[in-house]
Amino acid sequence: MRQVGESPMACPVSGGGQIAATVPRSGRSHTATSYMDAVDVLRNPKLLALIHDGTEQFRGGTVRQIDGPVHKHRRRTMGTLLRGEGDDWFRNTVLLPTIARNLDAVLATRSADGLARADMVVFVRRAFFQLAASLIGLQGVDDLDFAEHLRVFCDPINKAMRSWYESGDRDAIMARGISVMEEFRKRYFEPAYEHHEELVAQVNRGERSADELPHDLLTLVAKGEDPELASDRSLALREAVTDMINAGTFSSAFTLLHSLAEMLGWFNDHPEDGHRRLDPEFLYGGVAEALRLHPVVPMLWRLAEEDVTLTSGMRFQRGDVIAVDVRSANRDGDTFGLDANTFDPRRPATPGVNAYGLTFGTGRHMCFGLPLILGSLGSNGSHVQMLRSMFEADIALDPDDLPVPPAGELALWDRFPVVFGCRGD
Amino acid sequence: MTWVRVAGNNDLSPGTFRQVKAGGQLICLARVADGRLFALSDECTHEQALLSEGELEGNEIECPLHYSRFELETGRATGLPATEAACTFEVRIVDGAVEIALP
Repeated sequence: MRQVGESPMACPVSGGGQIAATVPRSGRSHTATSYMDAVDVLRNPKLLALIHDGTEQFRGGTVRQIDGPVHKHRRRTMGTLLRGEGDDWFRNTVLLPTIARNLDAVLATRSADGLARADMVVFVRRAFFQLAASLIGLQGVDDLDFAEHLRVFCDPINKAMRSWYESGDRDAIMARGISVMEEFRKRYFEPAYEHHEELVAQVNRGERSADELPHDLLTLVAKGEDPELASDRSLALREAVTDMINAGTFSSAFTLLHSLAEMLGWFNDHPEDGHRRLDPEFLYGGVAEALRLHPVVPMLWRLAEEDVTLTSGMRFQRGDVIAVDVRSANRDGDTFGLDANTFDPRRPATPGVNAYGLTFGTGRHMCFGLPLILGSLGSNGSHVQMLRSMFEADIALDPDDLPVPPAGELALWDRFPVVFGCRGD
Repeated sequence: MTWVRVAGNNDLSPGTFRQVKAGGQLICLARVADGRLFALSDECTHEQALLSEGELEGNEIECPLHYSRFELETGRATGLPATEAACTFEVRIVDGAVEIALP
């Protein structure tokens, strides 16, 4: 493993805002801001994912931080959770019932005026905690109270993992997050792990059919499909926390809330599109635009293993650190048009360009949770399915309690109050 | 159009696929469960990755990198992140050999 020195690097993220990140660097630093340069960097096999990002206690050794054959194998193994048979199973057994369960619970609270009120920050985070818990293999995921408890319980973990993007003293935030992760391991992860080991043992003893095994991370681990995960329980825990508890809940909620906010604004400003509120393809256009304009990971980092020259002529020397400014790349006018800074669910597709920009990254480290968010078609993933259910239930902003915009580009709304049933039954 | 021999008819059993070369092009040759043979360009249209290193799922092939899917018969992209079709080639069996038509 390459050992390199560290020095702080300040990275422009949004208009005037700065984030302080500590990244390893032994050479010069560069920033790729155009879409094409960013794609070239992320797809170049000589530009390695940085091993250190200041949150190794959570992310160390996980699929997003390794390269080579081990990475390829683990990525393919974990990818089975959300593709092929896993895709159908997840959509029909987990995603759609979870949406219905959470929405029904809210609609059951209609008051005398016929409206049901909800805070969508809590709603979507709780729903995604149920999805994440199911993907890990935790027990009790159908229980809304358990999901709410888990959401609150795990919040310090998410805060610690996001702290890398924030300036100031991170020590206390990291210590609290690590402490909660340890508690999470004892209370939830270990019992579920042992349960899955027993299920797999029953299959091995011929007492249970392999078809009865759940589609989740802990089943993959218990079956030994990834040797490293099977032999290192703490690595399996970090994988669950990094990919499911953090990315699967915070990132998913962040992008869904932005999708909802943008679409509510669009339908308000464009009543002529009101008839398309339940059109999955139109909603996918909105989700892709929201993902493009509001990337939850604004910067990605690469380390040059060798000298590299991009198609554009941008040159890196061995040891250089390259920051990929995802937010700028996603708003590149040369790629997305002169109005790239504006939200337009009708934006025409550009051949060879992801409508959602580089929000999932690209290359061998492209977010493997993409199938959760977009499904196989864009219109059959979690975001369009949830938006469609919300619009079907006549969601609208609560005129008496409008949401206060987030404190910054990377922050989630504190509250996002809405009403359901605004058009009446 | 030129027909190029790329494999023996018995080289691929149903449900298997492999990379072949024809006229300098890399082609993924697949035989689906019902015995039909299909050939398409051995490169995902989303990003450089060999489809012949992916997985056969019914009548579709899945990219190993990001799980894009392509319909073997038409090359149509059926699963994100790929959105552009893969190039397909006509296939025929002649004297026990598989031939691919190159334009």
